[in-house]
Amino acid sequence: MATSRKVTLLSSDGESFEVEQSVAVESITIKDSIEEGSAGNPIPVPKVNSKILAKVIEYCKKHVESAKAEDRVDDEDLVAWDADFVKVDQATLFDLIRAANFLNIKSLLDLTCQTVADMIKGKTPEEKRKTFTIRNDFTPEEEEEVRRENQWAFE
Amino acid sequence: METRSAKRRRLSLLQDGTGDHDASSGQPTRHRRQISDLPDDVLRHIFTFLPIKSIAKTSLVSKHWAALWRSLPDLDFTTIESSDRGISALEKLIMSNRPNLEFPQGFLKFLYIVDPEQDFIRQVLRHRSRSPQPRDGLRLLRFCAYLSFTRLNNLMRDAFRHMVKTLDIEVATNDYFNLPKRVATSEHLQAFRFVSRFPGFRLPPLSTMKNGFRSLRKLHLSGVILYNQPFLLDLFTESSFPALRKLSLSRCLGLEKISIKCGALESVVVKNCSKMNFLEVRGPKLERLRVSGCFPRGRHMCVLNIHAPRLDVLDWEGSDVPDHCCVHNSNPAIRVSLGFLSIKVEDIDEKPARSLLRFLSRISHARSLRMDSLSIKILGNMDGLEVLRPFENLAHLELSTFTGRAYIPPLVSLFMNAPFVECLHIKLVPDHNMRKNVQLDGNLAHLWDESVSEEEKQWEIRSKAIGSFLDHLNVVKITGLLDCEEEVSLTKFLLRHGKSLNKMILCLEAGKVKDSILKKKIRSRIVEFSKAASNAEISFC
Repeated sequence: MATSRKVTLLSSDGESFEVEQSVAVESITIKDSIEEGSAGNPIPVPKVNSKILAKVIEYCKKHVESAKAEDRVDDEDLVAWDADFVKVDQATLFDLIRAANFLNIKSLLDLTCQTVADMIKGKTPEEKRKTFTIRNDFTPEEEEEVRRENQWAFE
Repeated sequence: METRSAKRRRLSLLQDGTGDHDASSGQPTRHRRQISDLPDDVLRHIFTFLPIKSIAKTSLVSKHWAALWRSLPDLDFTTIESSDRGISALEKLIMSNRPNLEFPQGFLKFLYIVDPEQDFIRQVLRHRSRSPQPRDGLRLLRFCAYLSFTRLNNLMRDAFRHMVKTLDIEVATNDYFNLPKRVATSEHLQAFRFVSRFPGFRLPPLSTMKNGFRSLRKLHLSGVILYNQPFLLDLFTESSFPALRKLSLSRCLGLEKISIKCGALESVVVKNCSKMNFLEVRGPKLERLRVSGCFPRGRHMCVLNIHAPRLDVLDWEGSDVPDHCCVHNSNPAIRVSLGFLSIKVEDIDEKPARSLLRFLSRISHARSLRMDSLSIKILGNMDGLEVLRPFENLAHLELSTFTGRAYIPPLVSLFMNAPFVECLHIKLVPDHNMRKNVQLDGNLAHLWDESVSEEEKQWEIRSKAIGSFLDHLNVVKITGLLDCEEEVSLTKFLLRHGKSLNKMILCLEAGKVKDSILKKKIRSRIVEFSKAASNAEISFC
């Protein structure tokens, strides 16, 4: 396996990031394009700005490193690191989700989606709307009907 | 989750760098970073981390979310979390209907009662049509319940109406349930799991089954009532179940003979068919076969026929040694694991030993073999084990064995016939019959005793006979040392003669001796044994 081969990623707002190839290929999208020979150099990453790309790279680096550490990084430590990693504002969280989805990084997608799921669970509909700034487009009758439809879920 | 065309679009985006368009919707992104702006498939992925009641509740948030819930491809009702209060009310209700019913621990946690007033799974299915449905229909429906026949039939009919692909049902019913014919006739059903905890269910008529299941890839049935048709020789033929890759049959009550020959099968598991005495499995693509808790010991001859040239893994567990067996397979990579029915010493005569030898000779081309302690016990009763066909390919051997002089001859016979083993794993098992005769020596004086023990002598005189075996050993792992009165004669012997030995891993753990000082003493003594391979590394775990 090539040791410390580096690639350069270019964010949507023009900033370059040099990373080890082993880190970059945590993204299946990037991995596929490298293998198919269609990736340019630097590899452009559209739709992902520098702030988010920096965070994604930070995540991938941490996970690649902890997987090959000689004395294995404690699973608990990694979980704690992950929990800290997702302590960001909602907008950033959703940007991370989009980036993970676009770049096809399963573990990051699952982590961020689980975080959002935890924000959803246990809240009343009104609380959910408030948390995520969602407009209620039901009329009172419509809302009552949907509630009746799903009455079993409230018991 | 992603279609090929979406992937191509995305990859070309990487190449061109024209990143202004949202690949999934084709609309320019306005960088609105709200949750509802996430693509639908991402929102559905978020829902997979929620129990189903929570997902249903999200439908009250907005019309968009209501539509997402109604078009959710996977409906898994086993994620319903019942409160503890809820369970005992449930239990009471079940017990009042069926006082003799006994459910396994934990089953009730996932159980929900379909209240005659409120058949909510049916409701959920009915309400789906109020929103546009995924093109492929319902992907998964899973539930676990105690139901009447009518309710169960209705639920299954609704599921099939929604073109369900994977149907996973665990039920208890009031009496033997008859599986509806539409299970077989559905064109969309790809995976079907039906477990009847109590009392069991009957299959549809044979002709319906043989001509149906055209798209079925995975089948798992548990609790099948076959007292009236104990021979299933014509069901799984070469032409029936044309797409079936994985078959798993468990608790087929009354089943005696079965023949499984479907052409596309890759994996077959047969479990807990306690009356079964004839098993025939044929499959040009079969890679894994597992038989567990079948072939009871008794009056009937047990016959096993395997015709599977590509078989990679054979697991035989908790079943008697077949009297007749035929294995058409010469796959040199095959891994075999054997574990037989518990047998009393008095009951071991020549017969099981001969059957075991025959079985072993059929799989003598195996690359990896794992045998339980009963196998050694059975073999130990046989004179003249030279009839064993050599395991020419065997690279990995894992044995559970009792300790003591009586077991040295069968072990030696095995080693003699496995001349090229590289990796040996021995699990020492205390023999409770022998225990009474052995004095527990807390001081372990014999470890420090320079004189050679009886066991060691027995090994030494056979060292030439198993020369090739000893020469090829690369890695040895021995577990259970402390459980067996510090039975180190084998360890000592292997160290002394293992010329190619690279690593020896000794697990002292497990069992009574928790005394760490004792362990240290044993460790330091073992490390001093003479080694044929000077750079052999000894490690302890």
